[in-house]
Order: sequence, then structure tokens, then C-alpha cells
Amino acid sequence: MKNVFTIFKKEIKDILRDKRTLTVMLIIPLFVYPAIFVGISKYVAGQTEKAGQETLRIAIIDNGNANHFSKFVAGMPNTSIKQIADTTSAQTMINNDSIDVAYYFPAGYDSAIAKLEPTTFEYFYTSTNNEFEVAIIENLNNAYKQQLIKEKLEDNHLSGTILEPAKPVSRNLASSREQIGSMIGGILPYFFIIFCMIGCMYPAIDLAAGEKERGSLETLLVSSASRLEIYLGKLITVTLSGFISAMASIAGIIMSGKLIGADASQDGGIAQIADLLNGIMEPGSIAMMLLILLPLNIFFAAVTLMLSIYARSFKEAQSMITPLMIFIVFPTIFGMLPGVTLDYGTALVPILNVSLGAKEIISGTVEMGPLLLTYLALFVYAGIALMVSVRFFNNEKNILRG
Amino acid sequence: MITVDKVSKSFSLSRQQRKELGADHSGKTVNAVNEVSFVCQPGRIFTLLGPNGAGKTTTLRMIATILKPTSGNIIVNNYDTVTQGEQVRGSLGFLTGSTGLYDRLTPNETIDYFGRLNGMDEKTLQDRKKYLFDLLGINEFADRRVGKFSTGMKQKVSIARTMIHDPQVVVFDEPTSGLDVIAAKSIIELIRQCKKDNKTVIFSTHIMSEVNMLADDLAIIYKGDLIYNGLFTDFKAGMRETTLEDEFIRIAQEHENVTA
Repeated sequence: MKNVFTIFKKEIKDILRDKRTLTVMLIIPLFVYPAIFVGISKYVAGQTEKAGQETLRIAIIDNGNANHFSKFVAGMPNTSIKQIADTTSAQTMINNDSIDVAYYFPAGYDSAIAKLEPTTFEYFYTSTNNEFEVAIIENLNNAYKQQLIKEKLEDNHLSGTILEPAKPVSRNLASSREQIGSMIGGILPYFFIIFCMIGCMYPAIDLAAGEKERGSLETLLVSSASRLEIYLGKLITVTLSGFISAMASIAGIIMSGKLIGADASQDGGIAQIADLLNGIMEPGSIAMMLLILLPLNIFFAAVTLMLSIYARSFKEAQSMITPLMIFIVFPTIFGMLPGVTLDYGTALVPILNVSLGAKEIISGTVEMGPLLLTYLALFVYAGIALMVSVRFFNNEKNILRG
Repeated sequence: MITVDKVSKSFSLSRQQRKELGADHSGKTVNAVNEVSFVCQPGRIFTLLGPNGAGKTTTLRMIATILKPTSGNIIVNNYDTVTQGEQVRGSLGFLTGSTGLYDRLTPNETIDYFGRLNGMDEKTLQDRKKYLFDLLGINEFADRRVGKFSTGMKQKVSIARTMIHDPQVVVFDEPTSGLDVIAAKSIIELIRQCKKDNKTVIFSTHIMSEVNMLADDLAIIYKGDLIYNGLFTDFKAGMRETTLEDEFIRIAQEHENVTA
């Protein structure tokens, strides 16, 4: 056991001095969440503010109507109106961005409205313009429609309740953590499963294939340490490295919660996300998450080390291990789909069970039965991967393949 | 002492390897070493001579417990290499020409690592490290990372790494390959010093001048077969050709004719 510790200590020292591995293992997972969440919240806040300040430039082709619509728009804030002659010039002006939207009213529009006859009007815009602008146009149209209805009801001495005699009022019993968790809860495990893998990947390649390539593995094999001790020393290092990566990403989540929580007052949605991120950090949730991460890490470490010891060189190990990402990304994304939940069946599917388990821990909806089965399944898979990996390491053909 | 008794080693071939060997090769395995026997005595330099691919490295790797013999057995310092691997490795130093070091560790850390792995207690390790660092002139760069060292500096660290636990048996597998004259000379001196210290030394080479300089006992291995095993002085006395190279080629040719 002393040798296992000696090897572990040396490998950790070696990794901590490797800037590339350190960046991938620690720096990126630590800052990716803050970058994403803070970035998104700042962007959304910025866009909302910009949209509030912008003036919607409207052109009207009225065809001799008495400007029922123009009068309505004149009362709206942040709008400007100009009259133009035809739809061709409207298109040109929209294309060269001198107006945002053009309204075309057919001849006789005002009289049709007055007589309550069916009529239409057209509006020209570019749907690929920014979403805020499109939403403002939609709002304007709706408001105009409401105004027309209101006028007509008043003309006919009718009450507004005729359109909605009874209004359904919803009372959603799901907590905001559950609601937001079910929406974005799947994205968080996606990142830390990926970081578990990335955290294992580079050290595993360096510690086996890298050592083979440098010609130091043979020397290590001739020391008094047994092959099992060498293997365990390396496995613990790789497992810890994956674990640190995942922990760094969780630390990143806490940081994001604190950072966006600071200006959460601006926007209701962002405040809810901040609440969710802070909610995940309850001791119970953290403990359940760590318990999922441990066997997952051992599983990843055993598999990556196994391939790395088989590979002839650093490069070959990289090309063998990198495609594994597909097998990790696919079930993780599948776990993000709505309607896929952790049950006694999905609890047995490796990686998918982690994705679902973590998602439900985050949204606080996890059931203990399937979660316990997930732990059990993960430990069994980790055990199997470990056994196969040890056999690989003991096979002289793999060790000296080069 | 090393006793190698009727040791063979065969490797199974992949389909690709069988294809590469062509029609000449039948079967799913290839014999790297065939029933090789020899004894290496303490205080003498046993030289294993042979061309590339003759089976030298395979033989030495079996002695160092990295590979297990397919048949036969090897006793190193009274320990069996298969059943008592750990004890064998504890009394054995192993140096090859292609040995690598850890670029991100310093010589101090490297030597401590291998000393500890070989079960040395801290006091003995530090005393022995000081002795070797003084002897090899490592002190001035002992705390710098190995990555930026010259080949000669790395070679010195490799020697210290091999000798840190004062092994009774030292295995050198083509130790001078890829080294310049000065670095190679330090290895030759190390081998001589090991002999003076009454250690059992086995070293493999395909360089005839090294055989001439160092060998007490000589074994010639060719295509996995041991085709000569005896005193080097006897070998020289019995030479039919004028140079070692020519004599080696003559013996190899003779062996080819016998086995053909």
C-alpha cells in the first residue's frame, strides 16, 4: 500500500506541474458555468434594455383612408410614423433598414371598419430581424386588435366580459426549483459528466501511453512495486483528477448562482435560475451528487487507463479515447429530453442514469428507489471496468506493445 | 548470480503480423528465445552479443521480470523471477539506452521516487543519493527539472536511478545506444565499477568494440538460439577470422547452415 501512495504522490506532483492538463482539468470547468450563465444573463438584460430604448420606425401606405391606425399608433410610446406611396418602396426601405415595418391598408378600409365588414390589412417586415423587434410588432398588432374590439363593443353598448365570461386562473403547485429544474436541470449534469471524462482523459493518456512513449514505464515495472500497486497508484490519480474536474464545475455553478444572484432583481427569470443554482447547493443534494460522481469517475478512469495502456503512443491513446465522448454525450443528451425520467429501467443504463439522476436531484424530484439502483448499477459497472482494466495492465503484451 | 535454465519465450502473432511475416512463417506464434541457458557470476561481466532482433532484449526482460518465460526458469540472487518477482526486482538494477525520465521532476525527486519504490528507508536513501550525486556530479542540477537537460545529464540521472538501491545484479540492455562518446564512456565506466564492486553484471550489445573492452564471459545469441557460450578469452583464442566482426558473421553463417 505504501508503494501505491508513493506512486499516487508522484503522479499528482507531475500533473500539477503540467499546465495543459491543469487548464483542462481545473481552469476550464471552474469558469465555464460562470461564463455561460453570467454571459447569458448579461446579454438578455442588455437586449431587454436596448429594446426598451429603441424606436419602432413605421411606414404607412394608407390608400386614402382616414388613418384609423395612424391615430392609434400616434398614442404609442417609442414609435415614429411616416407615410409612403407603395409597397415597392416599403420593401426597399425595409431592406436598407430605414424603416422596421410597413403597414398597407386597402382602399375602403376605414369604411369597412366603420360598417363592421370583414377586411384585412398587411404588414411587411423581416422575420430574421432581432427577436425583440419582431415581438414589438406582434404586440403592436395585438394592441391594435384589442383597441378595435373595444371600440366596436362600446359602439354596440356591449360589455368586455362577452368575450371571456369566465377566466381560468392557474395555480401551479410545482416549486420554482422543480419548474426551472425540469427545464435546465439536464444541462448541468451534461457539463459535469463531460468534465468527469475530460478530467480523467488527459492524465490517463499521460500516465500510461505517455509513460510508455517516454520509455519510463519499463523502469517503473522493474522497481519493487508490483504491477497492481502501479496500476492502483495511477488509477487513484486519474479518478481524483476526474473528480476534481467535476468538483470544479460544481464550484463554477455556485459561483454562477452568486454572480447572477447579485443582479437578479432586474429580471424574474434570471432570479429563478439563481434560486435554482443556490438550491442545488443544499448539503443533501451535494452528498447525493458526489455519491453518483464517485463510481462514475472510477468507471471513466478504469476505461481510459485501459485504452491508454493498450495504445502505443500518446497520439494513439488520444485517437482511441476521444471517440468515447460520443458514447458519453449521446446518453447525456438523451437524458435531457422531456419525458425521460429515472425509473428502474433507465437506472441500469450507464451514463444515462447519471444524467437523469443528477437532473432529478437538481430539480428536487428524485425518487429514492431508482436512485439507489443507480448507485448500485454504477458501482457494479465501475467494478467490472476495474477488473478488465487490471487484467489489461497485467498483460505483458499490452504493456510492451510499442 | 543469474541462472538462466532452458528458457524459451514465444509471442502470439496477430493476423496482421502473420501477414507481414509472409508465407515463410507457419503457426500462430513466433519464438523469440529458444531454450537458452547460461550463468552470470558475481564480479564478472557477462556479455550478450547479437544482432537486432536476436532475442537479447527479450532475454533481459525475462531476467528483469517484465516478461514471463514460456518455459524454463530464471533464478536471480536465489529468487525465482516468476514466483518471487518482487524480491528479484528489489535486488536488480535495469538500464537501457532508451530509458526515459520524468521531464517535470527534478533529479532529486526522481531518485527519491525510485528509492522509495524499491523499499529503501529514508536515511539510507538520502545517504546513497548523496554518494551517487557526488560521484556523478549531479549536485549542481539536482533541483532543476529534467525536461531541459542534455543527453549526458539525463544519462547521469538514469545511472543514479539504476544504482540508487545498490542492486547486487545489474542488467544493461544496449545501454550506450543513441549516446555520444562521452555519455557512452560514463556507462562503460559504470559497468567496470559494478564489476569491481563484485556485482553480477549482464549487458547486451551489438557493438563489437564494447565486447572487446568489457566481456569476461560471452554469449552469442542469433535468431533466438544461443550459438556460443563461454569465456571471452577462449572465444578469442579459437577465432578463425582476424576480426571479431568477421568471426561473429562466420559463426552466424555456420549456424544458418546447420539449421537450414
